[in-house]
Amino acid sequence: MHVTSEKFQDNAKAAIDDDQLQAGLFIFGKIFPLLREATASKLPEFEALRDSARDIKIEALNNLGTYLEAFEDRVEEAGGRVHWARTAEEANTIVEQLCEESGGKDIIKSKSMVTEELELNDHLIGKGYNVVETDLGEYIIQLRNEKPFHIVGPALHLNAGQVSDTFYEAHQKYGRTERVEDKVKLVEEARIVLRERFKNADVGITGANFLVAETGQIVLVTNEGNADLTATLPKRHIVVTGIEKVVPTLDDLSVFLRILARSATGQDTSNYVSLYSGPRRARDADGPESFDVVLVDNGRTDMLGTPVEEMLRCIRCGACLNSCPVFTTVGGQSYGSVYSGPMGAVWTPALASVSSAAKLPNASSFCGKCEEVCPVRIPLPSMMRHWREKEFEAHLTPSGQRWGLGVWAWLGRHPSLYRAATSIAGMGLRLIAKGRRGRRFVTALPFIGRGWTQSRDLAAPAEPTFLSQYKEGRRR
Amino acid sequence: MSNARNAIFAKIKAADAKRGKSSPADSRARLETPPAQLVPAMGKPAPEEARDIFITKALELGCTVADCESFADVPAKVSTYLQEQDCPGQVHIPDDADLSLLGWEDAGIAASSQLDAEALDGRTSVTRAIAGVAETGAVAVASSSKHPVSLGLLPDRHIFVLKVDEIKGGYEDVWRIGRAAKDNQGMSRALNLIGGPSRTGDIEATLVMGAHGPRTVHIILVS
Ligand code: SF4
Repeated sequence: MHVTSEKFQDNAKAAIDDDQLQAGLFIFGKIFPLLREATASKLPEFEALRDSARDIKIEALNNLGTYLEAFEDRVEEAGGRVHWARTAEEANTIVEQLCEESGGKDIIKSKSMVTEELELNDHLIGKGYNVVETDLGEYIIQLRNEKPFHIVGPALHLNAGQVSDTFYEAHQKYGRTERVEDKVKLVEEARIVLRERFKNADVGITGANFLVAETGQIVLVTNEGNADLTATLPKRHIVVTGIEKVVPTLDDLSVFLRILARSATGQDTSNYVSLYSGPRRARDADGPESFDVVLVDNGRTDMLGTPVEEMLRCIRCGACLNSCPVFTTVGGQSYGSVYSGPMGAVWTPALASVSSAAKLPNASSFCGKCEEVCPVRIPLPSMMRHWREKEFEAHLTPSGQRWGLGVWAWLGRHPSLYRAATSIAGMGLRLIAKGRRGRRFVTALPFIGRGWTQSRDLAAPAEPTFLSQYKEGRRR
Repeated sequence: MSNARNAIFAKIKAADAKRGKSSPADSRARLETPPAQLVPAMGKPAPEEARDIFITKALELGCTVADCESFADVPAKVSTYLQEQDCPGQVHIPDDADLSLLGWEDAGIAASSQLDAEALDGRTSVTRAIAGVAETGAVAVASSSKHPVSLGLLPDRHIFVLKVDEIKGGYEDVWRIGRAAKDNQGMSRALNLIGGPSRTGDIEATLVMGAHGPRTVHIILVS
């Protein structure tokens, strides 16, 4: 996984100044949370279902080996094959070999975050394959050569005008020379162009939202139906997903189906919920001739038995991103990782490395909103704290911050000096603060504090301080 | 890549040993006899209410619904629908006696059994289904000789013919039907819950119907 998180600060600054992008962030930060709350409030058992979902995932992870073996057996029984990949390289090589067996060059894909993590498209394109994403959002960002902005809405940072420009340029080669601006017409144009790709594809690659150990089925959840076309029309269906996606039984699956769409987009259900196992049977009227599941580790087993194991419960709903004040201010691409927001801040150091992702666990205000909305109740803030500690231990914290913490710790051990320092700082802040709605705020800090006030204000400390009031007996 | 498989399982085993929480026998029993999970009231409506809830939910998902006394009346209902939609009287049907033996010609409809992608593109399909799900308004289908999955994907209009007594409460009812139909290769290749027309919200979160699959989904309920 290619991570460019070291640029987080610069990316974030640019994002905050980008009005267009801020409009897109309104969808995530406001509209999705409102829809989530509205639909969850209509299901009285929503909170209890979240508990069940958490417990089922705990059971699945505690017995991961047993469930994966059962899944593998059932897939083979259905006439499919299971392949195991320790790393991204192994996974990409397996998929490439499977594509080679097909004898064709045209690949269609439905949205899969794991293949983003593996950078599978780049690998296959490098080997001479034509790879086309078919989820509309993924298709748009593929044409623009961007990374997904959000795990659920990859292209929602763009407006219709930008999509129009992108299509106008990309679709000329299909004889579509008229520029369309209207959203309905843009969707229609993508439908027409992609329909031809569907009909002529040799291989279909999908991810999987869940794997059912009881039945060997892979589960795909979409609104567009593109995953079903991908799993049905080409000669080969290849599924690429992470080993942590396994759930024990169909009854367990129901629990997740009831919370996933509600948490992600505020829908009662996604429009296509599909379970696939094995290739076309003798009695089937259609379907692929082969069915291969590539199960990817890529750092996941390293998380088992560690403080970040609970992250493996994640069902990629995106609710934590939408609830996050940092994500909804700076957007997904600032993170420099395909996994962004609170979940990305925990996944990325685990799957890439603590050093390459050092900035991400710090991109948090620790407000706890993410944990509140996470359908599988992952304690995201405490896991970010875990990576912060690792980062500090590994001396990856920027020298300024380490130096600052060092000074603070030294002052902490010398109470009188500490009080002297804070009262001088307080006086300074009050001196430069401006009044607003009865309170005083510092809108422009000097020196290293400049970064803080570029996108937010700092409340000036009240006077007298708590300690001085305490001494005078005014506070107990 | 059996090396990879061994390595991954070795790491899982090591974690199991560290945590001491795995219980393989219990887990295998769970797979043999899946325990019931919490099913919300929504997922188990009273049987006499299931039909009305299903219709309401299907409408919410953007379907249209019509009722019909018997299978014999289905072609006439299809004809009315196609006229309303201003579409040619032409449908594609699977090799399913429930549908293929009906009097399509008498209703002025040309029924084709051609199922290749080129033929289906932009057309109307009529298929049966294994269940209607009251909880969500979705219709469940399972792949078979009688049900090519592409019939529900490539045409512009998909018409389901569903018997009222095939309307069930929730997901669990569909799993029950799927499990009962298992053969030595397990479940059917595809089990799809189709909740209305295909749609997308990927441009500015504006909902647009007809993304990749059918633009309209019509349900004919046979009582
Ligand atoms: S961490 Fe929780 S809220 Fe965030 S994407 Fe994963 S499941 Fe959803």
